[in-house]
Amino acid sequence: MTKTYLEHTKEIIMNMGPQHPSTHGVLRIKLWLDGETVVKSEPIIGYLHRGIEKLAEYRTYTQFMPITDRLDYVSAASNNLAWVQAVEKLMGIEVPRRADFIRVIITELMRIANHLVWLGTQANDIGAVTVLLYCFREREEILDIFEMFCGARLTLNAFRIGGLANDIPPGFKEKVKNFIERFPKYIDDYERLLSENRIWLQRTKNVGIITAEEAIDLGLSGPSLRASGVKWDIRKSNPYAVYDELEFDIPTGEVGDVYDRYKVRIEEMRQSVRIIKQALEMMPEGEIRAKVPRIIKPPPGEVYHSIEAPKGELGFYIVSDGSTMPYRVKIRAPSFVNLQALSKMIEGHLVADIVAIIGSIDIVLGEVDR
Amino acid sequence: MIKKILQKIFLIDLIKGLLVTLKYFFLGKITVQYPEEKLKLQPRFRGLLRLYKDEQGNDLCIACGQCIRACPDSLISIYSERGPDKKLRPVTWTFNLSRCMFCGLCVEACPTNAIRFSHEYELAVYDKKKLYIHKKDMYLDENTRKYFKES
Amino acid sequence: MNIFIDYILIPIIKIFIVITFVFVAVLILIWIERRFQGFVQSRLGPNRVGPQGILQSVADALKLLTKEDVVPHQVDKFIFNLSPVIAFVTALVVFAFIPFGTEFAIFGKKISLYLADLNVGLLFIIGFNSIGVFGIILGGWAAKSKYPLLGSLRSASQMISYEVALIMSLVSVLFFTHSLSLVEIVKAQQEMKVWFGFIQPVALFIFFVAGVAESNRLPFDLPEAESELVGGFHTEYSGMKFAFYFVAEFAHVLFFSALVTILFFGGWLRPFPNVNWLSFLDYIPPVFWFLGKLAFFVFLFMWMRATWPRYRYDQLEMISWKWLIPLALANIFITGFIVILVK
Repeated sequence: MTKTYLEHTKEIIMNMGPQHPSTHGVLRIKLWLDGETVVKSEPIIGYLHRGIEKLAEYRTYTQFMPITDRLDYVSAASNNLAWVQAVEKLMGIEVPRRADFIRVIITELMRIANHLVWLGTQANDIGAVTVLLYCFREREEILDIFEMFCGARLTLNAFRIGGLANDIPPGFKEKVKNFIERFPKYIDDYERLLSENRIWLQRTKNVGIITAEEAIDLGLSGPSLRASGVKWDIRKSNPYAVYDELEFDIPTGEVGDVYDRYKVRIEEMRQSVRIIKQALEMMPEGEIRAKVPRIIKPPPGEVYHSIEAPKGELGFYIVSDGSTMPYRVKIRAPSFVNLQALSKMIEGHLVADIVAIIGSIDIVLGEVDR
Repeated sequence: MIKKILQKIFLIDLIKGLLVTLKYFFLGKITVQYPEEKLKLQPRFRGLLRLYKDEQGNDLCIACGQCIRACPDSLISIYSERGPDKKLRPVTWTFNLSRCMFCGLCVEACPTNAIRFSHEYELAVYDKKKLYIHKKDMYLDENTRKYFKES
Repeated sequence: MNIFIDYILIPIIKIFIVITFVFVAVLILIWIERRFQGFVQSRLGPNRVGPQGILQSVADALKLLTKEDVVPHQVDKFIFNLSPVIAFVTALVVFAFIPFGTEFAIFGKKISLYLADLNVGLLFIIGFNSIGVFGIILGGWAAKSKYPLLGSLRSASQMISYEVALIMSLVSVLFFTHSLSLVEIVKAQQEMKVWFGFIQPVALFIFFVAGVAESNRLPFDLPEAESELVGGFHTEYSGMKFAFYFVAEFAHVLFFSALVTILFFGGWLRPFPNVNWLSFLDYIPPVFWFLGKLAFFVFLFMWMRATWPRYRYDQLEMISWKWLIPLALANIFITGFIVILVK
């Protein structure tokens, strides 16, 4: 009779705490580890909750707009666009075409800025520290363009209900054209540094795989969904603003691992450049604001409107009771829904992969916690 | 096929990355050496809020209260009186800088263009009471230009 | 009198010079690394403290000296205080065996530019380097908390695997020199008129990769990966003890660059010794050739750090066990075969 010396092994519970250099914000993950392999995980959120949905009930529709900037603070203009379009849908206002084109240009520039932050932080987490600085250098130029347009760099408050606040200043078109002519070369530089690098490939291939059925079941959206092979983009399926007149492709991946999500986002940056080029040429002259009453009082009713934000599907559900302040606002934040897939993706991987996977889902805690 | 094997042995993909960083080693640097050099601001830059006077030196503000209604956080408070020329003029005009978002809704709402953004962004103070700015400090003249720099 | 000068005074002076050289070199290295990384990233590095920022490392050292030494209450105090010392001392001691140049004469006395020249110098150096691993393992173990423990275990396995590869790649060099003394190795390169790097490129590659892994630099710096484990094995250290680990890492970089130049690139020999019209290069003292080659390899270390991502630790192990060690073994066999055939 042999005696077994090892009765049983226990898993250690490790806490990847709210303060950590590479969870993008205050995200806390509780891990059950067996050696270095993750057996189970549980994300704990709520460290950045500010009560934005409640704040909306005490502000008018125009006053709430600067607060939507602070939801996804990396790509602020998309949140503005979703809110403004939801209110215009509720009131039935038709926006002039020139305003729509300028909105598209600003939103696509914001998408490029968002993907630059994503690329920089993901590469920094995996170890390539120079890519972070290069991405932020390009982002500086985009933020300069925003400063020229509306005065602020990060929290733009760029749109108004019915159109825009101001028209574009002189010199704006040339500056944007100058930028998008130089930008594809920078994307080539990042690809030369990362896409074929064997260390990068080994770190990101077959890591964090999520299949197409699982993705649809969990409610993923945005580039994470497209990387699993599902061709779903709200700009093509329910077009808003002038996207139905512009030509662009939707990149998809095959396997649904971290590498595919990386490729999809890089290709999206190139497609955004294409969209901006077309919008700059097709922009007509005209007014920039429709005739909107001074005090905005939408008729009683409810509306849900969603757009393709850089992180996924961002939706606003507004219930109005006829007064100047909304009765209830519900924000469908893409990062909140995408975070649910984290538990599924981490299972069976090592601790060192967790950072790569969190980076690839592209979450911002401002949206997750609201 | 052979090309792929040769690429793998001689680490061509890694060397390509090295060459990219070497290229940027020799190109220009974008650091702005603050405080000797400062960035050039665009005309629409949203700096500190200031009240403005017209050419004769009278207040442009007519104490209508539109800016108070437009601000999401109610940071402005005005106490007004009718002057001898039967026009409303503000007596006290207080502005709470500690919670301002610089969103610009008050600037858009003002009918006489009295409140506008200036280009000041160095706003750090040592004393929190200095962040509640009163009327006499809201104008941009020699008295107020040193207001934030010296504190 | 002669005994006093020969055996006491001159060695003490040499010890001081070597220690000063290592410290000053480490300080300058830190400054160069930060400036170089800054320049590669389209920004200026530190350039305020002192002319062009040279005194930045001095300011950092002073800051670490005056910092509060935070010791958590649950640590094993003796080992906690001992491990940085182990890492630091072993990193410095190996510099005693590295020859910086040929002998030169002052006041009629022949002074050799190394502190000690053992017959088994190479073995001794590698052995001391292995003791340095204890500094890392004990450092993570003494601070009884999960993050440093994970970091030190990873680092232990990494260092053990790469030491095997390191030593095996050296064996193929020894076929040509028949001696383990470092001075003899350089002299053998002088006799054979060719540097070992050109006739043993595989061994050079394996040695360089293993050297990068031993000194915990990117792309193999998982034990101290900031974004994954906060700090790895040195999470709980602050103040001067942290400075010891830091200096030990840079001393390792310097040490492996020196070993590469001595073993594979001729040490202090000048390039192209046969070409006659380049004989004016003979007037440059050999020390400067050594330092120049050293600087080139240090630059290579820093360049790699600025560019590439880092490996996951099981991929690290796979590289060593699946690729480097079989390659080194094959290299030994083939080299031995060829040497026997030629002779």
